[in-house]
Amino acid sequence: MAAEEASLIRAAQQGDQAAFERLVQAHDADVLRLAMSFLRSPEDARDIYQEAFLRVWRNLRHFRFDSSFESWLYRIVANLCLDVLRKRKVRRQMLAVAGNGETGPDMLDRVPEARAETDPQRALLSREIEERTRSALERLSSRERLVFELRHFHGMRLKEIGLVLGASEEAVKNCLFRATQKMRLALGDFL
Amino acid sequence: MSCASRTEQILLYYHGELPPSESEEVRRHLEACAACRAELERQRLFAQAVEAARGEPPPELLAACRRALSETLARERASSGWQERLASWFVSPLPGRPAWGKLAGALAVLALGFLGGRLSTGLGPGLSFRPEPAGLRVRYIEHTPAGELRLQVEESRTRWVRGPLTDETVRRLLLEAARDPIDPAVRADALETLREVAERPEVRKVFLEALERDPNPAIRLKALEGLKPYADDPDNRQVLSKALLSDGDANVRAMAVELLATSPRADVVETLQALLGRESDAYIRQRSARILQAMNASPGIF
Repeated sequence: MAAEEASLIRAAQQGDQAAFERLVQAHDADVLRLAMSFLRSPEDARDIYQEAFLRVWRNLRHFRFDSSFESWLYRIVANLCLDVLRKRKVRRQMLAVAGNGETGPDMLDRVPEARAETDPQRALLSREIEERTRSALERLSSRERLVFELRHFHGMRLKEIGLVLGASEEAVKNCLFRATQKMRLALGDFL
Repeated sequence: MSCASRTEQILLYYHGELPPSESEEVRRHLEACAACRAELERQRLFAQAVEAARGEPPPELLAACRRALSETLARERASSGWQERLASWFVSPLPGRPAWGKLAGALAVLALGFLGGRLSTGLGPGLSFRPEPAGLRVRYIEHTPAGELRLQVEESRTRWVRGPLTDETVRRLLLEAARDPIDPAVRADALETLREVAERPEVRKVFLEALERDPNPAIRLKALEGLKPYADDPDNRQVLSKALLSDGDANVRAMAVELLATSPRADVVETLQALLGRESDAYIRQRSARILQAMNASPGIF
């Protein structure tokens, strides 16, 4: 943890509002991005943002620096997001009595193996690739997406992600591997 | 290990998640194996594609989130009660309240706030530090067994904005300060300063708002002082009449009646007559009756 962040946390623990605001502003865009990307709903993301930082504010005095602040914050965000997803799933199950249930991540499991030969020179910044990537991300399971995003977009170590999810490093590793495979399958034509 | 089974290892190598010895072993293998180098390259390109698809939250959503959080936290802080209780003790200390030590502390805190904006040197002997005058807020007061006080002081980063009252930024900041939700000392100082430019409509609006809504009677009195030269204005008179009839503080009502009396007009008669029927303060009743008498108006409603 950067020394500056540690001193901000200590100041905020002593009730320094300005320090707390700086802590929020150092992380809140990432929190919102994670919540948005997870929940695909600005309203839900806004609720997660609010609730996450309120929890941080209420519990900061208990923070003992035994993990990074970022891990602690993301653990809160991840749990809140997973709660929302769980509620949505229950709602979907209740509504989809007549459906075949074959939606979301399961479909990706059926994608055949990627071609061995690929063309690495393809334009990776094209809109189509971006859209396919986003679409593939959405089709990962919630846990896979969380692991994938925390690793790729937030640069967290697997051990830290394990702390966030309450899972072993090995489980996180497997999850990242699965998510990467699925994502690469979805982008197979371009890689 | 065959190349086909190295995919996971190369992924972890790419992410820097292999132990040093294993990482070194993969690095050596890569030097010799074109297929695994291609796999590493695909992983790199894949990560680039993913990065390109990384969306940023819309700035307006982020701003809305920050505003909402700020409001929620302000409410949370208010409900935790420190500033509110300090302010209310300062305004109307209840007889028999046992915590005189705390009351003295509260007065000291608010005095510190009032003085803070004006002091440019330390706060005098006995204090172990020389805080910056602005951005200083006492959050907690403790009495130690040794008879000392322990003050938890919040210091936020501050900067000075300099300029004359004619400067728009300075005025804007003062208008915001006059609405500071926490510190009555800041509000009082801001209103006092803004009196010099009370001819501006936005300034008079702040005075009227303070008179109508500020929970602190000392601030409402400041607002009345600011409105004094403009007691003739019909909009102001409406708010003054309302304050006279409904403000909970007798000093505020007394000053409101004086302001309305500076230009006695027919519109005030009804207000004063209504007031006479309900006013508990003898001075205000007498003053109202004299004003009505001077206007040749009846003291009662018939």
